[in-house]
Amino acid sequence: MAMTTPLVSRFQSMLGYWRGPNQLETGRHGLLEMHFHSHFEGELVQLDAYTWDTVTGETFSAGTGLFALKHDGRLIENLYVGRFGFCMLHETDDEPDVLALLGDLPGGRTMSVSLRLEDDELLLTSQLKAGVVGKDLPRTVARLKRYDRPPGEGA
Amino acid sequence: MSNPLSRFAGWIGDWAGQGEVADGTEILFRMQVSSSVEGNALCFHMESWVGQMQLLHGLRLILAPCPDGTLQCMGFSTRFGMVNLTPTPDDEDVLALAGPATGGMQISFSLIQQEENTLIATGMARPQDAPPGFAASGGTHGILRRVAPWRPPGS
Repeated sequence: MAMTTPLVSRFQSMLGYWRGPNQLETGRHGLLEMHFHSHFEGELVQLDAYTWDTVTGETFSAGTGLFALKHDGRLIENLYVGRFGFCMLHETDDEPDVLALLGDLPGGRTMSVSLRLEDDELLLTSQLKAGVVGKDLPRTVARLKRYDRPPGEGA
Repeated sequence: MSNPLSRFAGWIGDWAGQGEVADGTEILFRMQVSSSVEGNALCFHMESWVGQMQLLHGLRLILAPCPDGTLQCMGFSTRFGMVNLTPTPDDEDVLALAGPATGGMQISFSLIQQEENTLIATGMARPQDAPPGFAASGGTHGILRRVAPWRPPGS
């Protein structure tokens, strides 16, 4: 169990594995698995995410994010997603029960992500915005259920 | 594993050794290198310890290709915050990274393969606004050897 730190307390209810149907901004459907885990005595939380085709098993999107707290107490995320590379997201104002982040992608695009725990569901939404020129892509929504592996089972 | 990372694939595994920081303090050093993001990235998880239980510095790096094929690296340091590092040209058996941290420092980090199962790790930090010729402090230097999991005798 991770040491409780201000960072871990923000993610305490999300640590572990989550799974649910997902649709990317490309329209492709799949199954999303997310895994939140902490490191360095609770100073870092990492999120690994994979979406795979439920028919073929092919993974068609994968990424990982590193969350930490800035000096002002707000979250910062270093994110890598294979489809579009690296970016840094910063926490933005939202409703108290929503974790919302926004950042710039290469090519002048922006990415917004929000996480909200609703009873036993984790609601993940994200959107790629095209910037000054171009068309914003549809906001994606995934509803995930906790899928914790039994102790001792490999990840 | 995708191509730009393949020259480091032989480093996957657990490494441990001893080193010292700039003031001469001796440290224990452990590093785990693992495949990440469905084989599209390498994760370098490093911890240096003083004595038996005190974490001196933790560094977790994700090295992965951008969509244009160039390698980039993101990560988190317990001392310097989020880091975004770029590989600098070097020999085939060297991983040399440099770039800024959100804490205001410029970080450089390298792993040099000395022998098949020996890596030399060095890290350095200096203020991003430091004048030319500034003597960087806080350097870390360690020699890591591959750690084999315990196996029953004769196996």
